[in-house]
Amino acid sequence: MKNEKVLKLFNLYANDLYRFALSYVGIRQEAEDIVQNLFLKLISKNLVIKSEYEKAYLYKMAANMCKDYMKSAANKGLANYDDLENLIADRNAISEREESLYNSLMNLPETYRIPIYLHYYEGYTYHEIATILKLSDSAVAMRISRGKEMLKNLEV
Amino acid sequence: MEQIIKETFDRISMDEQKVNEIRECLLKKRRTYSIMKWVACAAVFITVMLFIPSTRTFIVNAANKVINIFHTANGGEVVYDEADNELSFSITYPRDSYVKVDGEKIYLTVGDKCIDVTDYCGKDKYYRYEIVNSDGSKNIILVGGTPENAGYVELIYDSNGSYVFNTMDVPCDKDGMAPAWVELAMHNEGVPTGNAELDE
Repeated sequence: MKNEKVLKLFNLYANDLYRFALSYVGIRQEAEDIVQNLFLKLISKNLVIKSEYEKAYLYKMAANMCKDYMKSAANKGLANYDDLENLIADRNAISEREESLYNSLMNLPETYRIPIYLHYYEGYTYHEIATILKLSDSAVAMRISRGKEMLKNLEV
Repeated sequence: MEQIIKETFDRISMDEQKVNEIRECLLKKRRTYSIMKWVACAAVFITVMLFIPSTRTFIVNAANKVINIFHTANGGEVVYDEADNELSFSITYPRDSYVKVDGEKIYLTVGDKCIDVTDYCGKDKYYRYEIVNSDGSKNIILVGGTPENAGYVELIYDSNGSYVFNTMDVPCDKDGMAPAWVELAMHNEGVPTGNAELDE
């Protein structure tokens, strides 16, 4: 893909993909690296993606890269996430409720956390999430429902 | 809950310094195939000339620009355009597809051949057809899918066996994803599929 096209996609989706990667891996630096590697990969690929499918394609790519990272992090015994205050420039603007939500969400198992993020933040439908995460629609529905229950129990 | 999730994540964005760093990196990075693929392209250019002697083929040389145009077996046109150390190419889809569907039957059509490949095709099944040219370069045509969504992928290799590029005409699903057979076929041929998990 041409550099200019990749740069255009980067300008459009970098922050969305960063937030998605962050919700997955929890660590700012890792999320940034995933975004960077994703766009570098695009340059080296002979790809033509219809504009209406660009975002879904990029999310699918990001999900695959995050999964790979999580596998290797689990192998290395790494399981942590950055505090919300380290992710936001204006730390004073963070409310207790936001901090509590973020901590609860990041403490959910990845299985539930990612579908919840994609549904409630990105607004993806169950079917769209199923495509991105390579799951069945019913598995997504079940994970969101259980994840929501777990979040409630964590008093969000 | 939806509201608080939105509010929280809306506050998070990538560090501006990192954004600029990646932008610079993307601008500097040249596509990995730039030189190698151009060399390979020249080989394919010769290949196609041998393969389709009657094809209109030409190269335009200018002070800072080289355009290489050639045609695939079924009338598609591939243009390699090198200017200012940047290589790009465009593909005009062929007039005639390699795939013909007649009722419940799927046929591969290439040259004067018409092969019934129905039994080999399915959602995750495909038929493989290889053309080896006199210089050792080759075209691999992969046909797959069902009669409702049959399609093809053509892979072109140079005489050293290096993959150069592909053309394809494959119906995607509503999420823009190609059918399973495409990913499988390209992966089996050892070429990039676009699926990071498979390609690594």
